[in-house]
Formats: sequence, C-alpha cells, structure tokens
Amino acid sequence: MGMSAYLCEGKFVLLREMTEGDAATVVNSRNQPEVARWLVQWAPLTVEQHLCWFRAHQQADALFVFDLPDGTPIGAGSLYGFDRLRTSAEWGRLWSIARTRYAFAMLEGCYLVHRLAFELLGVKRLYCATAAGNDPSLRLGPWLGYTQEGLRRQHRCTPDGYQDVVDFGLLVAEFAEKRHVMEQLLYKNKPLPIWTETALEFASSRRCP
Amino acid sequence: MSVRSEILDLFKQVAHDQDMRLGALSDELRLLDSGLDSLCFAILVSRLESVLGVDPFSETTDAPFPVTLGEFIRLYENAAQ
Repeated sequence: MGMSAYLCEGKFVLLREMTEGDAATVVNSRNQPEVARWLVQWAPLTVEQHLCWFRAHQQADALFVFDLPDGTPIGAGSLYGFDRLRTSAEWGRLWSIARTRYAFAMLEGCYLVHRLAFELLGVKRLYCATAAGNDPSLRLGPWLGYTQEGLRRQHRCTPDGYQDVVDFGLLVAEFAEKRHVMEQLLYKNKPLPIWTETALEFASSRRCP
Repeated sequence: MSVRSEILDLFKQVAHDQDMRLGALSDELRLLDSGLDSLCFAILVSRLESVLGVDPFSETTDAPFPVTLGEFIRLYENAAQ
C-alpha cells in the first residue's frame, strides 16, 4: 500500500502539501473579492503568476491545502520565513472559500498546521500579521493561542489605501497550554488525529540539518 | 424548550461570550449578516450538538448550507425529529 498523500486525516479536513495542480483553485479563491480585499493585490492573480511564485517558494516554505474528506480543497495556509535554525516561522497566506459553511474544516486545518509546526518541525515560535479591520483573522489568532505583540501603523499600501497591521506571536509553551480549547471545540473528548508517515517524512526533510 | 428557543438563546449567548454584536433575530436574517463570524458558528454548532444531540452539518454534507436564520432553525428542527 502506498503512502497517503495526506499529512493528517482530521475529523473535518485532510491536510496535505500544496501542489502545482492546486494552481487554478488558489487563483480563483485569491481573486474572490472577500479574499482579495485583505491581500496586497493590485490586479487579479493569474495561474502563471501563481505557478511562478509557487515554484520559487515550495522548497523553502511549507505550503498546505485543506481538503474536505471528499477531496475538495476549501482553503490553505502556509509557514514561511523560517529562521536559520528553523526555530521560528511566520504563519499566514490563509484563505478559505465559504468560510461559514466550512468553519470547522478551516479551524481544524489551522490547528493541524500549528500542531505540525510545534510537534513535528520543532518550531519554538510562530508569528503572524493581520490587517486591522480583518475581523475574522483578528479573532482567529487569539483562538489559536496568539498574543498581540504590536501594531504597525499604515504599514501596507493597498488599492484601498494604507492599512494598519496587527502583529501576533505564539510560543510553543503557549500553544501547549491553550490547545485544549481548540481540541474541545473540534473533537470534544474524542481521540486527536494522528500524523501519517507522509507527515513524518515531510517533517524530517524540513527540519534544520 | 423548543429547538427554535434553544437556537435563539444560544445565538445570543455565543454573541455575548465572543463579544460580537448580534443583529435583530428574525427568520429572514441572513446568517452572514447576523453579526456572528465563522468561529462563532463553529462554537454555536458545537454547543447545539451538546444541547440538542444533533449536528445536521456532519450528517448532510451535500445539503445546501442555510442562508437565513429561518433555514438554519428548520435544518435543526428536521434533524431533531
């Protein structure tokens, strides 16, 4: 039997690495007005642009896609900007389709990426930045255990003007302390999803040598 | 307590707990305009499962997602029967 394509098969979502085959889905999703609004995107993204970006980033970054159990991709998130020892990284590039409909799937996808970062990659600190006014993202950070660490005023130049950016940080001990709240919402008292062989192989190829 | 009452009570409770401003609750209210975000809905659905013993979203994944509060309530009323 071959290895699973998935890093983890959760209750609501299947976590896997992004591939070139996801290009059309990523581009369509990122061009949705409610998604594009929060990205610094001056013109609609094209598949060619995305593929160029993807090929340049897929080795250094950890790019994930969240699939429903039937294989339909409904969102994505990434870890990137790893430091030299791969002990810290940025979390972001998050997008989802039909956020309310797939609320559990998106929350579980985000939770699994954080578990993977801390449990398998050995990351000690994650940080993320969210445009002020992007309320769903501002609320997601604290749910994942993040603490606000700063505010960058008029930091991002977007087609709609300058945006303030809120900085969040999360230490491995804080995630360990707060993850039970996420697990209670997602799994109640049922067993937690486990990592596949694919995940272990992925992690060993991404850790600091 | 009826399914409708449980749902309306929990809408208010989740909005309060999550510090969200809830719109006036009516059957015609669009869920996206209710004031609750996706995290709130996840919490709401989880609490409703505990109270009512059903999670219609895990049972009917192909069914259209309710657009209004009235449709949301009917989904639970049907699942609870």
